[in-house]
Amino acid sequence: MKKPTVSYPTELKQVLSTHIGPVNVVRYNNQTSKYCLSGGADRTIRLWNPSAGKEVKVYKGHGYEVLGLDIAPDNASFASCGGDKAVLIWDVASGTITRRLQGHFGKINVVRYVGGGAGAKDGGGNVLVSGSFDSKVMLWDMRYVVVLLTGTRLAPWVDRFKGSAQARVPIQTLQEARDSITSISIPPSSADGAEIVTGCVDGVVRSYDVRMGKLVSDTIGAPVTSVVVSPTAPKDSVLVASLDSSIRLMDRTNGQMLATFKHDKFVNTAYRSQVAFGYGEEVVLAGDDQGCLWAWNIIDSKSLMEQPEKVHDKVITWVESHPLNGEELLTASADGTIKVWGKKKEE
Amino acid sequence: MTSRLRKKLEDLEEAGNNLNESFCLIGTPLPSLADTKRDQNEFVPVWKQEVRDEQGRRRFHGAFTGGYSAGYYNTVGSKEGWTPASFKSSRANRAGNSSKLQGAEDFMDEEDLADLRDSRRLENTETFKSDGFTSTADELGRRPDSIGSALTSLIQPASSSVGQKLLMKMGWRPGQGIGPRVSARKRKIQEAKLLGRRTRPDAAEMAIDEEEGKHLFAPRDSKLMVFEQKSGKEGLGYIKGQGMQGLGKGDSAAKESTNLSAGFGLGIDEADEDDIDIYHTELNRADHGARTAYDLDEHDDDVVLLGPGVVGADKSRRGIQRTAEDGRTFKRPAPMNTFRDGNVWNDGKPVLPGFAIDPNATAQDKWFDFPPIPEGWRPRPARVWHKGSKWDQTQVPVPKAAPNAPPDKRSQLSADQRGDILGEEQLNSSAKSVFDYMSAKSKERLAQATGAHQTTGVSLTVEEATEQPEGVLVPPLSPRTASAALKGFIPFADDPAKQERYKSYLASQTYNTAEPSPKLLPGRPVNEINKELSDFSKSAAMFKPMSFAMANRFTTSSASAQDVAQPKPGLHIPDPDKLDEWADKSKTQNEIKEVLTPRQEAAKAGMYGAMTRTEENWAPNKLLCKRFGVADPYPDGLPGATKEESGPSGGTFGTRPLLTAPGQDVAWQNKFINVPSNEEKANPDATSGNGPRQPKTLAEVGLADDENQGRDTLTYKKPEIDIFKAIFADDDEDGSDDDDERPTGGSRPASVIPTVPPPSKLQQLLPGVTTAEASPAVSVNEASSDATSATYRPVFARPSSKRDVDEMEADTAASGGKADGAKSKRKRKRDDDRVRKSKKDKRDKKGSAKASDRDVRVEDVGADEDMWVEKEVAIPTAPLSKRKRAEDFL
Repeated sequence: MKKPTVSYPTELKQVLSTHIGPVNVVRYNNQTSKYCLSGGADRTIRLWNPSAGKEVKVYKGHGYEVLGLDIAPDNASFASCGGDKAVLIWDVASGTITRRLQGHFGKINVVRYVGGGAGAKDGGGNVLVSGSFDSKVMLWDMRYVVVLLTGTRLAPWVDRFKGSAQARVPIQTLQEARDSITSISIPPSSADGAEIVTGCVDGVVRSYDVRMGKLVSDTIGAPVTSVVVSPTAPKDSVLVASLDSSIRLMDRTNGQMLATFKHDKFVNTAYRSQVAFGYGEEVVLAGDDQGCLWAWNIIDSKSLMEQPEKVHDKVITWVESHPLNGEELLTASADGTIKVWGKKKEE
Repeated sequence: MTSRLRKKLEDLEEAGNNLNESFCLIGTPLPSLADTKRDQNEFVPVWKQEVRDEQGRRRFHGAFTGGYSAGYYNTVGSKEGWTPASFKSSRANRAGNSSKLQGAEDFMDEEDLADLRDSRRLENTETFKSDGFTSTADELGRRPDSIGSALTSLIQPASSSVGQKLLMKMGWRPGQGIGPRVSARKRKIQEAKLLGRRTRPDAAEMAIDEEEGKHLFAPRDSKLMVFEQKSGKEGLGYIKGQGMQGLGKGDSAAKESTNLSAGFGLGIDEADEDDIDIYHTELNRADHGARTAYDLDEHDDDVVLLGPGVVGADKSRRGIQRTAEDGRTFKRPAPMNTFRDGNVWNDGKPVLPGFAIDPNATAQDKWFDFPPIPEGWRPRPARVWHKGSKWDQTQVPVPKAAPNAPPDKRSQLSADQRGDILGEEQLNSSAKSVFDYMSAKSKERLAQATGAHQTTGVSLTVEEATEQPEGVLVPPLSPRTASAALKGFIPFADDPAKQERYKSYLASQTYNTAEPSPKLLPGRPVNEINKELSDFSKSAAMFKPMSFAMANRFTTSSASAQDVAQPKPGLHIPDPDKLDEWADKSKTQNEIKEVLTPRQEAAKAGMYGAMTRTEENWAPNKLLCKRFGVADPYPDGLPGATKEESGPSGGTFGTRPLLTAPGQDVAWQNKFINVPSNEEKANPDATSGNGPRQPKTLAEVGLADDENQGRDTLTYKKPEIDIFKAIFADDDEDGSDDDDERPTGGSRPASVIPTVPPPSKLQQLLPGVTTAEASPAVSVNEASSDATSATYRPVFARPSSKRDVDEMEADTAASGGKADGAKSKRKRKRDDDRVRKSKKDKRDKKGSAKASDRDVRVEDVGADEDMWVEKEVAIPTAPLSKRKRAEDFL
């Protein structure tokens, strides 16, 4: 066993287990990252205080399983999506659904706010990006009300625009993908970029650059299950997990592969499993189909352990690293639990 | 009145709660409702409504017929209430006279009516009550016994009917028969008949003494027919206590008939008449061997033909057969043959008593043998099909080659054949069949399904018999189909010999074939050969390639998803030895053979980088750019947006811009939206005095009912200061001088789309402000190459006089390159600095299309010079690269 040179949270702190059935997604809130939201196959979204292990609130309203969610940069609302082919916008405090964005023809796998993240700037969250099984990415305007209020002229077209068809159709639909969109990553607004990176089952990672008006398609080969743009160098690298049981660190500038993270015993061929950078991007964290949590050193792309212990009974569906410090890590699994990992005390 | 009422109310408020004060001023007020008893017609909710009968009982109609609330709460039968009686009276039919005849029933209630109904009974009248024609059970019970009846008949009052009296007057006496008197001999015969004998009375009985012979006698009274009451459920002709065999076996019937039916709980003592198994007689038991409620015998469905001498022999044979089957020594009952002819069916069963077999029954149809088929004849149905054609004649002399020849060419030419005749190119020469895209396994399966299954197992490699045996019919195939099928997929790969035969058959069907007679299945009967050949022709029709147009619509299937194991009959028992082998095989079979794009292959090889990367232009929506806070990378539209990039990732083809519309132009819209409002301020007088076509309505162009309305607000920018300058700053040019120097559309830069007069000149356009000479304000069709797909929108242009038109045309011509006309020259000189570049662009763009440059649309409205007319102006779809500034209009 190789002595790990880098560390990541390995001590089990809490088990959040009120979800019935698989937990599909877990996300930290923005800015403080003290809370997290999780969505599961039991059609509920739960708000947790992970460090305390307490469930704060349950959001019920989905008619089908929840597959993805994202929290608005101002933490006041969040968006969730899933089997009911609509993106629901929730008010965090009241737990009510404020908007329902319909337009996809398949279940929606992932939803992301533009301009979120830890360093969310003011005015982020103008656009919501949703990726669906129907191989479309839709961009939704989250600011249409503001248009009404700040527009200099209130013309008759306002009526047409107000809360109806105009507001309900997406700003734009990206139809380049040839298969189900599994993952979307949006570089943090602090990076001053305007990009949308999508991962698709057709094995292509597509980067839409709004500023430059370019679409860059990088063929990975195997179905891509998760794309994570590097939080520190979003213009340079992206982590791509695909169903050939390997995770690749790709150079975004020229499409070359920087590193491959794989292991003989690491098997991820069936499920979507969100991978994550460890804090500081020292490690790459990923769960496999058996429920083991793997970690690779990003420098030498070697696994930190030969055979990690099985931390979940079933496949790990989501690994979420605390965006602000390296002290916490969340893993969501199909066994219905979310485990909160913390760093071992220094001895 | 209202004022008075209000006053009263005010008084009321002052007076406090004097609510009962009457408002009536004249007359006596009605008594207050509260004072008197309740209103009869007060609304009562449905659930409170009860209806009670005279005795004060709530009517209950029964739980299933409405309970307490049947009908409409016991009131009437309909929702609407009573139907009022219609009063009808006519001269012919007076009302009141005939229509309303009241009877006793009208005054009866339901109970009385029910009593009345119960008391009614159908009975015989008094006259017929006593006689024998009674039918009901109680009447029969009431019928007196025979002695009693005899006594009553004695004391019966002599009441006679009219008919009887008449008969008596005619000489009839009771006890005599009716009719003329007869001789003694005839009377004897009558007597004999009455006694029921069928044979004529013998001589001894017929002996008549002399005295009798001298007289005529009244005929004997005919016996009254007495019908027995039927009390049981036995069938017709059944005699109680006697089975069917009783007819044949005479006295033994009674003894044998006491078979007790099989049943539960029957002791011997309890057995009474009903328990006797009347149907299961000895005869039947012998027939069937077992007791069944009905005849299960397999011969049940035999058709029994009535008539003499039809099936007797057959039946007897069957009887023997049945004996053998039963395994018992049983002889068909002999008495059958001993019955008299009239009473026995051919199969020996007795005819039901009371029936007789008609001796003149219809004879059985006679069947004749088929005429003998001539020697050497073979069926040729085509002779019937092609009646009248020369098929038969041409066939007969050349029996070998004839079947191969296509059918009558003149009448049966297909499109393909006509094409061949006309020498058209064969389109399917390079075409592929659907089956080229299928996997080999699927093809084989299909081939087997199409008829090769009979002979696939038989592999006969002997091929010596090339001569065509007698009776082989080679099914004709279109040569085109044959040659196409030869090029396409060849089935029967598992049987090379058969495949060879198939090819040979196809080759024999092509044009100018070298081998006109196909190889045939050797050493097989003719029908098998024919079968195979017809299978071949079917296969050829199926596997022939489709036409070229269809061929390129299919792509090769990479995975044979339909490849499943060929079903075999019987229970599947896996062979343990072959199991591993099978597993390996299936694993390899299921491996999907992917067709990888070059990029995917590069990715598979790990050669990430330039080989796996594609970069395309992608046009984000304007609103999206705005939301992202970045500038639109393609304000002029995507470069090369017209050509669609077709790559594996589709290019920009699929993106749907939501708000970008053709012809969206900020400058254009600003012109309409902002300027006129300013201009209104500038010329308040002008806007007030005229009709609806005011310049201020120009402002509505961008807003009401406009496709592009609202776009400007999304991309709204404050107008440049130049515009304000242009409007409000002092104009050093003399307005009246400029009348004919107004820039027309022809001399305008191409980017100025609708020729709206510049803001600074607007006052000249406004009637009442400018001089009488109307200045030419024309709307110009920009006639650019984009104009074909342009959207048309109304703009307002002023009608111009004839002179203006001429001038304008001159201007237009000048701008098109012809330099003439001093005025236009002058004007051009003035405008030259500003518009030179644009003009140049335009000229370049339209260099070859000068004619279209003249496409200046001028409408001469003529008389009504002050009216603004609505015109259609083509807006080019291409967005403008530059915003127009106010100085462009100067």
